[in-house]
Amino acid sequence: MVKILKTLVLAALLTATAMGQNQMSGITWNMGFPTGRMADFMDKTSFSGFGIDFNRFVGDNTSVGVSFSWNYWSELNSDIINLNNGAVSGTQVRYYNSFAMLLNARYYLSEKNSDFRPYAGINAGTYYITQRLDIGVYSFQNDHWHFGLAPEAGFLMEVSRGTYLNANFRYNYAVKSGTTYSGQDNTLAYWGINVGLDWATGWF
Amino acid sequence: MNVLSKRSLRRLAPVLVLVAGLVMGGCYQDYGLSVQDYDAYLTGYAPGTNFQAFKYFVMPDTIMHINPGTSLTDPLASARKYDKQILSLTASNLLARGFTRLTDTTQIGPGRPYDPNTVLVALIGQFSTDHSGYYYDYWYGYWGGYYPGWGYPGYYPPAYVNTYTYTTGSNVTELVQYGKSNADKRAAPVWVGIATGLMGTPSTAQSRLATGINRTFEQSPYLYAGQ
Repeated sequence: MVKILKTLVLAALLTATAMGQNQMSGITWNMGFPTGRMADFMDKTSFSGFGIDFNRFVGDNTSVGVSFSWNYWSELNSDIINLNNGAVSGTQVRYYNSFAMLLNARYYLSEKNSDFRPYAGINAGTYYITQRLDIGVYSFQNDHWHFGLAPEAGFLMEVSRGTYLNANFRYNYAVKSGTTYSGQDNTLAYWGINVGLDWATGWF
Repeated sequence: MNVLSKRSLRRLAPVLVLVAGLVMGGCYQDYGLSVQDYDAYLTGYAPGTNFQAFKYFVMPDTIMHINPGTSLTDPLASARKYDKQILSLTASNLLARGFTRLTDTTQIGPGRPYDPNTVLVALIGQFSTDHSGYYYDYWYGYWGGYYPGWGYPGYYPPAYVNTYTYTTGSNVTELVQYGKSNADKRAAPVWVGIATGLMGTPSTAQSRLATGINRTFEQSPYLYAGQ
């Protein structure tokens, strides 16, 4: 894990010290839609999240960079939770926090100086995901680091000189890491819609 | 302004957002829960039990108070006034599931009218648990430091350590096969229903107990009598 973090920090620094015109820095508002096993626990959309991206162009149509993002879900319900030989119920508050630290590569479909640049990309890195269930006076928390992949598709649209609207779909897939409290597979996945602004500028 | 130029601020904005977000990530939304929202209902059954093999039940007219401590004072003494309601409600739920209540246990046994293998015994017990602990109130410390008189030492514990104590009460219903016990000569329940919640709010205790007992049956759809 330390090695992965060092790699991410190094990648960020390399991006930060590169020439401004070849870089894009941006922030996004991130929404998250759980799917699969994650949706069994949290059937709710997250509107609380953000992302920070740094990208450096290594060709007219290709960029590499890093992406940091956070999504937060919480839900109040009183569902019955079926156990192997029984059940538990009561007012519950369920939470997920997902912190993603990813390296990415993107391919842009249009010309370099185009106002509208659709792109497709792949992200790979780590997810730190916390899962918590509060029921009664008890709280159960299950935190894990996951290796993850996140293919994405989106576009950049120039809204003023050097400033772009950035929007993308991203499928976040955090592979199995540890188990749930009931000993089940801990693979987690969620769709992300991320909207924000990018600037064609370096980092300091 | 030279230090924090417009350009620098623009570049710092994502970092500020990140820091704010991470701090928020350490918190969890408070839904303003009421006392009854801390009630929970747990049920379990012995694997392989065929509940439809049972047709009858017997039930003592006493609720046991389990007090594992050394104190001779019953911490649940004030809950005795709900005993009648709890016994009645538990019996009603079993009757609604098709079980017939037997009152004369001399009629149960080999060669007697009622086969003990078709009879359940409903046992009800209650216990209380004290909880205590502490937590650090970081937000309070952060903002409190700005007010005169608090000063920066206020950032550090123990100035903002909060303690808590509370007591939970649990109502436990066990269904045991008549005349059966485990290797330790103890009753081996085939079904257990537990309703637990915070104590200290008598105004809602009666309705919460009723809700809790009903919920344990509602979440056990397999629990009904055979024909």
